[in-house]
Amino acid sequence: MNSNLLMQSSAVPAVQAVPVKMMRKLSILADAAKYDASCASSGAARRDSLDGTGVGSTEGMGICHSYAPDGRCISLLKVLLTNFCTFDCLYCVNRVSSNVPRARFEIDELVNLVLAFYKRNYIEGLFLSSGIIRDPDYTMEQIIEVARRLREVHDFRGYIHLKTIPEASPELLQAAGRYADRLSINIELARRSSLAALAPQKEVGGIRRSMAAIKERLDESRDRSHRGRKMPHFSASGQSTQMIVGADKADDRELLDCSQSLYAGYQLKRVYYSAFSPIPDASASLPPSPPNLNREHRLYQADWLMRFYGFDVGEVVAGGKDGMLDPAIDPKLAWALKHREQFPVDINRAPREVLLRVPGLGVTGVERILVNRRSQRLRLQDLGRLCGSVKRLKAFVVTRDWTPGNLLDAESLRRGFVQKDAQLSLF
Amino acid sequence: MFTVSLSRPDDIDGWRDAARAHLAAATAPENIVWQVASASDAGAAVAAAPSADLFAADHTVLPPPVATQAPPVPRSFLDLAERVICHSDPTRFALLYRVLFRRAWGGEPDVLRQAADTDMHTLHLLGKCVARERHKMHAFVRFRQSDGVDPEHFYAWFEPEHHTLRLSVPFFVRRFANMRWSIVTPAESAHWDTRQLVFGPGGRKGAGPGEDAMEDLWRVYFANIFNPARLMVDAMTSEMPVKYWKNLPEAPLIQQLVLDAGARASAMVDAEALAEPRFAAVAEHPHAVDARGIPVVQKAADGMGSLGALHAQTRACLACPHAHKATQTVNGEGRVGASLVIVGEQAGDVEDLSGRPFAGPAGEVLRGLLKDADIDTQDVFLTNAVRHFHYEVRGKRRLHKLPDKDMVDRCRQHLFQEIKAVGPQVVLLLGATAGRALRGRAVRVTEERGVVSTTSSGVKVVQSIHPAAVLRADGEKAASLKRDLQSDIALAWRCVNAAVAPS
Repeated sequence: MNSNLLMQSSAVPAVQAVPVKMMRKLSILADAAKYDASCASSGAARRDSLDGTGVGSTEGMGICHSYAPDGRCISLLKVLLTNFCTFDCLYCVNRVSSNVPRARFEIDELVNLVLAFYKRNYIEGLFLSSGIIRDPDYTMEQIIEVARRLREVHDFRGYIHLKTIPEASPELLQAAGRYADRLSINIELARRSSLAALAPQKEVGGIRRSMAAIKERLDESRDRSHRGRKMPHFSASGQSTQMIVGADKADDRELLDCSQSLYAGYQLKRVYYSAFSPIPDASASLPPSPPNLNREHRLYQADWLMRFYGFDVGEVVAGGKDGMLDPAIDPKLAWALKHREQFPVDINRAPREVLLRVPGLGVTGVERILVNRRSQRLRLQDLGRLCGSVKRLKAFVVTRDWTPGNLLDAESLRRGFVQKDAQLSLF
Repeated sequence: MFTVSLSRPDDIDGWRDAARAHLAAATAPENIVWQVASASDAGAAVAAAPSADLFAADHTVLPPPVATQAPPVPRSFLDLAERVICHSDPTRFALLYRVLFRRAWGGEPDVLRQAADTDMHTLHLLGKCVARERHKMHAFVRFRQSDGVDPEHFYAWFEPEHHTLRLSVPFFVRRFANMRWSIVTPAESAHWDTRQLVFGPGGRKGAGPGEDAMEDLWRVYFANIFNPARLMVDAMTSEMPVKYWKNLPEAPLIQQLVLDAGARASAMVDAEALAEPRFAAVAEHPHAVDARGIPVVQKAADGMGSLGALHAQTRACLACPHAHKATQTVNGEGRVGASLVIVGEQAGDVEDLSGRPFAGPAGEVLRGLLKDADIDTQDVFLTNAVRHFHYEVRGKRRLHKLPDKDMVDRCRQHLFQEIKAVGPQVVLLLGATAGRALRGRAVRVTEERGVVSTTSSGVKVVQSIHPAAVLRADGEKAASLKRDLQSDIALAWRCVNAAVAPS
């Protein structure tokens, strides 16, 4: 697939100014990085270039500069430094036994590419990962050197996300955190026995140990030293990870349990769920099916419910059956339909935590209700203005002028929410 | 009838001055015609002023204030107004004024806070729309480097739907402070020379520099970061609406990428794995576990001795379900030949993160007491009955849970082998779990503490309480528990001295 450096499109004129070699490298090393879902550039400390010599700023909220046809945001230049790798993780396109073409960026080559893209406002910064070459420390040093040159030689103040290599030394982790806004290491598979089977060279505990080490450094950097001096910068927007969904038999409960342990244990900012995607030259021991994007979507919704809506794993999973979320409706609705005795909820009286459990009410909507009901008793129409739409929540609420009557008990209630799965084509 | 003539379509200062004066004079909203002087927003001016009012346009004098002062407008509303004023909706000026009038003179002092009010709801929608347009401008402005200009200069052409240029440029100033650039829109342009921001007239499409060579590389990136197996066109177009595509260098690729996606994805699904990898041979499995998650014992001697071999094995142990959620196996720490082994309950939160036994608060208590007793830590080997942290998640915290009987039973063999490898004279058991692990039966700590027993192999065993009990108690109770622990440590140490002394 990489022979199509540019997808043949008549709209693109051929220009000779960029060496073909560079195009080839970028095509290989971007292709190799695309199975990492994260492209977030949020949460960094605010900074700009007004008092600097280079380019770059971070504004708290990241910016998506483009969207690929897979609907994913393109915020960062997400590449591998090299896709040569000595490991043989079966789910990975870059594993040693795969026949994909290989390439490696020179450090300055990549640094210049980041700056050129950044100055044209294509990207928020860099997301750099790498295949493991020679040994973990050597690989980590190379990754850090790219970040160091961007920060120290070019005074680059954009966003940098570095992947940390399992088993790299603590000093290197410290150095990575000094230059990066975010560090991450992928948990890959929730079930440890699967990881042991599919990624035989990865020492099973190494991933969590690295997360623990990053967590300890994050804690340190937030404390002040005993003299009250501020500790040096360390990965201000924390750490994140990615879990592959559907490469083994683990059910949703196992995945969410694992996420919960990661959030609580290592103060992760985000767990990304990535539906196992077929890769070119795949191993025969993996499911050769299209990625289950719907399952991935439901997991994100469940993850959100756990982090912002006060649900625990058991409650979320109880909406579906046999440890799997209901694929047809969102997990909050699924939970509500199985707990109809807790509804309807009086919009004008219910406390915050009860409102948060109403299907169709988000965190912002709930806050608006709390503010607005102080001065007036809300009607259904008001609710529509505050929350966007009442279609979803009508059956679950009581307002000044509305009660759902027997709507809530209707057998057909669930059916009304199941959407026809029709993706409209643009072309 | 009054007419307010604003200098620009996004003239927030002009609107605010006029609104303030009219509010003070209690001018009714329907008696003001708002218009924009500049020709570039002619549409808005005409629409805002029905033809009959055009003849009244000379009434631009501000009315005299009446005695009563209008209440000051809150900051949050001015922020909203700053955004709303950039919208292309011709009724925006009047709408903004109307809610302020209702608040000051219409007996609705709370109206600004009522998001469910029809006017406020519309204003919030307009504001949101402008905020989104500003955000999209931050995202989709694409600079091209001007050819042969030194120092380098960058140029962008952008066609915003609302009057968002001035609202957006501060971002570009912060980000590209040391770069020379121009952003040109049909109505107005902004220019930055590393020190000063200047606004100029609008431009036209195609007047700037031609294709930038970097656009080719950008397209290479765009084409390759896309995973054809995950085609979701709706998600893309809802975030990157087609109206922006005309000025995005990557957009011409999209159609072909979408059309080819199906074939590329099924090619990946159908392709069989090649029998022989081209790149390199596959390495051995160094960390193999069996189906139950129990590590397969490595046969090669690694020179670490039996303790090292044991620890290498326990590090990969996943025999208990709770081990899957722990960071790591926390093995014992100390030297082979230490005369005293101290056994705690299980690894806690801090131990789990650091990988070292007794690294947390209870460990601090223990280490303090050892120091007080003048016991050299070189002579002590610290370990736990259960090697993985057992916890439940409450909110964002991990709370310690008692290990159950199965965990203790499964981990017992590791403890026995560890004690055997260290070869101490005395084992000090801290708490009921350590007692159960070594003795294989339930232990009543309060009754059995301070008692010395001897194992069949001649090792002395002293039972005591866990230092965490000291931390959980307060006041006199804590002090008394601490004395108990102290005296048991002293007892254990006397046993060590008795054992090593020549008889």
